[in-house]
Amino acid sequence: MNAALEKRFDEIYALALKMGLDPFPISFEEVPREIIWDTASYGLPTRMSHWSFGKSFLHQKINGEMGFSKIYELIINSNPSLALLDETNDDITNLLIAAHCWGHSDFFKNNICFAPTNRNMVNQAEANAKVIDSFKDKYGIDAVEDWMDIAFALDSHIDWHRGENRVKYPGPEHVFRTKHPLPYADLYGENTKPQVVEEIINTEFPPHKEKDLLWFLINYAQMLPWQREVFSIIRSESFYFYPQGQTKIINEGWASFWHAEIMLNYENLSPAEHLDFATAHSRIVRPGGGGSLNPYYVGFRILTDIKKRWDEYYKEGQKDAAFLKSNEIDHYDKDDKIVMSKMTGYEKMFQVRREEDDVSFIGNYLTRELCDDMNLFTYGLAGMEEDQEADDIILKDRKLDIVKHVMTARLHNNGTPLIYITDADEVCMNLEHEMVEKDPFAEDKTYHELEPFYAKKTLEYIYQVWKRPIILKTHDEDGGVIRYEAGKEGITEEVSGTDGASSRKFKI
Amino acid sequence: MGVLKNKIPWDLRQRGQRDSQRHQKKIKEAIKKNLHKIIADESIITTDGKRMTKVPIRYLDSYHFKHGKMRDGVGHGKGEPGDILRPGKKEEEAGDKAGKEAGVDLYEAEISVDELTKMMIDDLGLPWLEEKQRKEIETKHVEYTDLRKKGPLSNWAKKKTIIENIKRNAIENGKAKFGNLKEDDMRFRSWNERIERHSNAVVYLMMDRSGSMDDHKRYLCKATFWWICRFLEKTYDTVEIVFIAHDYDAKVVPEKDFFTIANNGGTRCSSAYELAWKDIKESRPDNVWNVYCFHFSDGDNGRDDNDVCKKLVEEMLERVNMFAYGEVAYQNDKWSERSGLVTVLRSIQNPRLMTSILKDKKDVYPTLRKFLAKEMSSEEDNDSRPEGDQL
Repeated sequence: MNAALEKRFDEIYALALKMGLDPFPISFEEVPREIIWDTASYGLPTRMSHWSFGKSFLHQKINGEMGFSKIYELIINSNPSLALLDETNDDITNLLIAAHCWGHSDFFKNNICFAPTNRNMVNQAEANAKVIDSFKDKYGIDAVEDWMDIAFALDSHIDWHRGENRVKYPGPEHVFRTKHPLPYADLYGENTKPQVVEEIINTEFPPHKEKDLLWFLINYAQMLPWQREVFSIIRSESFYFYPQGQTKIINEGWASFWHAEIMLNYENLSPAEHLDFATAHSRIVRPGGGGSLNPYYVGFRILTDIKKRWDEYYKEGQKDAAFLKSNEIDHYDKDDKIVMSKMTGYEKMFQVRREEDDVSFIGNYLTRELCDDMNLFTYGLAGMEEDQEADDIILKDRKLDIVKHVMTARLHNNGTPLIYITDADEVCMNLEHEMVEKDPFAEDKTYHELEPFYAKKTLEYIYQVWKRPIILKTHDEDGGVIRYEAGKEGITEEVSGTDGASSRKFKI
Repeated sequence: MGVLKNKIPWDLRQRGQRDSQRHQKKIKEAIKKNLHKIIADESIITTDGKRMTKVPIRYLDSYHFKHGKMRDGVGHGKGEPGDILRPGKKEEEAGDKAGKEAGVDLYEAEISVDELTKMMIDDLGLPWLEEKQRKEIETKHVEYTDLRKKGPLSNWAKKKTIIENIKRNAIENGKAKFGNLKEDDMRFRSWNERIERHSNAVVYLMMDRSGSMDDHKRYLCKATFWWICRFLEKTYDTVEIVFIAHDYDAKVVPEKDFFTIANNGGTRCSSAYELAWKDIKESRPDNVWNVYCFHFSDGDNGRDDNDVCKKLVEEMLERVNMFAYGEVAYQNDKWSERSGLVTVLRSIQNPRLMTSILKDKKDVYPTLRKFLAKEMSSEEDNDSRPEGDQL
């Protein structure tokens, strides 16, 4: 990095602080493209090696070399944050990226979803990688990678809300309880004295539906110490990555909002450079091609809208003496529409960046007007209507509620199907797949179904760990029950539709 | 201080490269495991052996619970509800394959036919090859046998380098320790080409081209012969192949005609045997030539002729290194198990006579393994088959 650019990087940082951002320090690194691809595939510059990362690396490399995609920058959530810049970026792009990164880093530091993440993950991951490498040396690369395959298959099934560090379930316990007689028991000639009875509690296993499959297996499955360690490492890294999936839209929106805000207020730009910046900005924050959504664009638009709206509400509020005296922060009118606020646009935005994830961000702040303005719509398979093939993808609806539902349904649980352990003992383990409606507004109910081939393969994985039959209750698109059983003899599938149960054996 | 400036030696990383090689290796393993399903595939048999081919493997993804194909979502743009955004595939276009395998993402690995051939024939060989007078068959081997001071870094012999370094240190400083590495210590592995000479061999490929050989049967014959030819070409630089096509009469044809020849007429397998036997007796003296015979037919042969065949084959077995007979049939054909020719041939007790019945593309691989198992002894017969194959 040349000295002039370094000086401007410092100026951008000073400006970011002045405008109210509160980021971690950032270490900016100019790196070859290979490093960008590498880090994009592994998630961290120091992460363990596994063939599946190699597969995605090759994919990134081919895409990059063919010019299908270019990654200008990557930023790692840690303290200090680590930002990787493609060494072929020009200066103005790098300035824009620097501003963008301060937005991300501020978001990492202050958004509630990221609060529990390990800010030292870059170093932790390196230590983890060393542990995994030592296992590979000791137990053979194939054995360890095969075991990692299983862990990676399950690593999105964690329970974010119960957290990374949990205590085991309380085991069954003998307790003595005083049983009081019911009122008027004497009238029925029953015992009227309090009785002490012995009870066994906590006999259910697991005591509640368990969502954290990896945690459950780590604690209750029989495995070798190194295998447990591999599971633990992959689970803990999964907790680190989880919030990134939860906050794609808002995080990118926030960073895009700030790179625009900072660059527009940055005085040390020549008119030509300003034009370059505007071009680059419009390339980043534009509607996705081919009808797909661009998270940068959606997030940026919603945040800009919030700022505009709250600036107005604030102005209205300033005119109303009664409101200013009241304890309300926001004031709603009869139709439950917000009209006044004591928060300025900036203040509101900072509140939003602290408190929301993608689902709540869209749910709370995507308005009818904005939805229309962005031309959002839902699409899906055509029904069997006249002159339409059932396979056609058609534009379905533009109603705000439906758009919101479809958008958030995809983001729910980071897009992973919800699988619970309902019951486990020496005989078998029971899993249940939660039914989620595809469209709650449709007359014919349809549900998100599991991809059967992948489901069967994953069940075989769990069977390898639990070593007893695994039974998964799931459903097809129309809600008909499907029961898979993975055991010694492979996989059995049982379908009970409306026309009675039928059973057939599968062999993979 | 917000902007940190430190330098990390990024160029040293090779993690991505290494792991993607690991991925490639896994692909190859998966292909190898599924060779018996892949090798008789039309797309491979019909190539000129030079281009890349795509091999579908269902066994190489990171599996996890995931939703079935999500066809709904949110987009932006103009349009009215009901507008077609992307026309679906018409039924005919989608075809059988898509219908049956809907929802399964096939992982398509790209591999050159050459490499596939190499995998395929790696452990095949001509059994019972004997030392004969004139050694003409040549095979080339590349062996890393030599060490040099200069060479490409990929051939760097680390262990030897360290030993050299320790030796030098011991001489110079009296301490046998590793350190102070100099260019002089560097050792690189280097290779030599070793040419092995084997005995001469002639291979007779005989194919039934009678009217009863329909497309299915012909395909199985062709697929197997295609691989036998590829195998011979790749493994032995100088092996002679004689192509014989027969219906009621047999004649020697050039290779390109052999695979495209039209079907016609009745069947008399002995005609092919006679022709081959005559050629062997006349121009392949025992002390010079190894002789291999492969015959493929649907066994639809005249009853009288079967006995003639038996007599000829018994005679030939006295002389040839191996006689292999493959019978092509349909999956549901029960009668072909007992077809005259195969029954008669199986009554000959000689380990050098091998028979196989092919009903489906997947039988091609086990058949090849059976016929071309290197270092064959009659007991090992069954072990050479890959697991899970039925024949």
